[in-house]
Amino acid sequence: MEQDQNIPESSDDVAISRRLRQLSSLPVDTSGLEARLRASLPPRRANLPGFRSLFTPMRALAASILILVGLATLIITLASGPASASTERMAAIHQSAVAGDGRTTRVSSIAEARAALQRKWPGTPELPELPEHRAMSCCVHEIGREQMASITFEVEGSPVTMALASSRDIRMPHGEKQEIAGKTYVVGSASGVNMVMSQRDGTWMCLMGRLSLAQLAQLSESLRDN
Amino acid sequence: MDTEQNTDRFYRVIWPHAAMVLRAAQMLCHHRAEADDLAQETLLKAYRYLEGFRDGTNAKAWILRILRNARIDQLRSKRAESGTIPLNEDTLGMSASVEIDACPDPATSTDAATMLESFSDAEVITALKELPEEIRVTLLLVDVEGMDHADAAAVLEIPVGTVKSRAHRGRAMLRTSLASHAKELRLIR
Repeated sequence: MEQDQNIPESSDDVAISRRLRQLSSLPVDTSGLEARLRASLPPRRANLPGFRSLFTPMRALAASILILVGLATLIITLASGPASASTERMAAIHQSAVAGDGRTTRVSSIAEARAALQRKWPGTPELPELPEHRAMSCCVHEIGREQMASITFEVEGSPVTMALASSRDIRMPHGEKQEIAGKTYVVGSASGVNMVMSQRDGTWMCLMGRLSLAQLAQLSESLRDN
Repeated sequence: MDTEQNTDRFYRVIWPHAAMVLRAAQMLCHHRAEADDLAQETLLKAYRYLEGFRDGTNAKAWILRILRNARIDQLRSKRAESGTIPLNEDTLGMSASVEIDACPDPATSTDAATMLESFSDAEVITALKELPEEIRVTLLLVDVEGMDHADAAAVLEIPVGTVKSRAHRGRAMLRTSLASHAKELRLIR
């Protein structure tokens, strides 16, 4: 029968204990044991092919969140970036103004046009002076979520529409760059309407009508100087 | 928890103790193959019972308890195969030889530390293996693995006082055994 007792440790006890403790650091080869265990245990997740491990629940959830965040970022980027105006749309704006459809406001002077546009859109870019031309109408258009002002006037009996927008809010229509009278313009044409576009101080201006590109460029230059 | 998660957890929590398990098995068993089987069985049981292990608790004590139970099963199985009396707690306990060797011979009680250092690890292990099973496993837990008496008592499911008395007697028996070998080898007079 064993006795349950507290026995004080002698120096011999301590010596034996220390010697035995040294055995805990004896090196052992566990490779055989590991091989036998691998044969008996299910595979580790880390050993699975990467494709399969992608579809574990947590990773699938993380992937879904990433995709959603990516889509949301794309949508927000597209929605918050500059709107895009096509040459076709610009041509349609000019044709509507000339036809005098219901959305345009008839005006007889640049001062009247400024006032009308300010009422519709307080953020209307500053309109240049039109000293030799008679104003006919003005309008505020929506391009995507952004706004663009236009004023239509006569130049030598031909209606010309000048569109103005913030280059931060609306991208200029795609067109080719062309140097006219020593200046570089972006030019385009749609539905028989020519367009000459330029940009200055955060505002882009498009002059469009049946006039030639050179005439529109010359007009643009004269207006910019005013 | 699915099997793959369980396997991951096994390699994270249990496998770092594999060397300790194999070393302990080699000190408990008399044959290499027997030790390999014991270590493997211990780790497989640890895998099977892993859901019952709580992270942050003493993994080493938990594994050594499994090792202890696996060793009891192994000994019972061996004795059943050899047709001897089935092993029970008493037969796993103290034998008469333990009692008589509890007090070392003063003649052999020379400088124990010097004598012990003259033996190789293999020789110390051989002497350890000559001790009765319960003494051997107690020294394994308390001295080799450095467990405190309370943890060792929990592993062995015996009172702390019994652990202390077994450890004390085990050291005395080991010292006697090694001193005897030293005399044979003329390491001491």
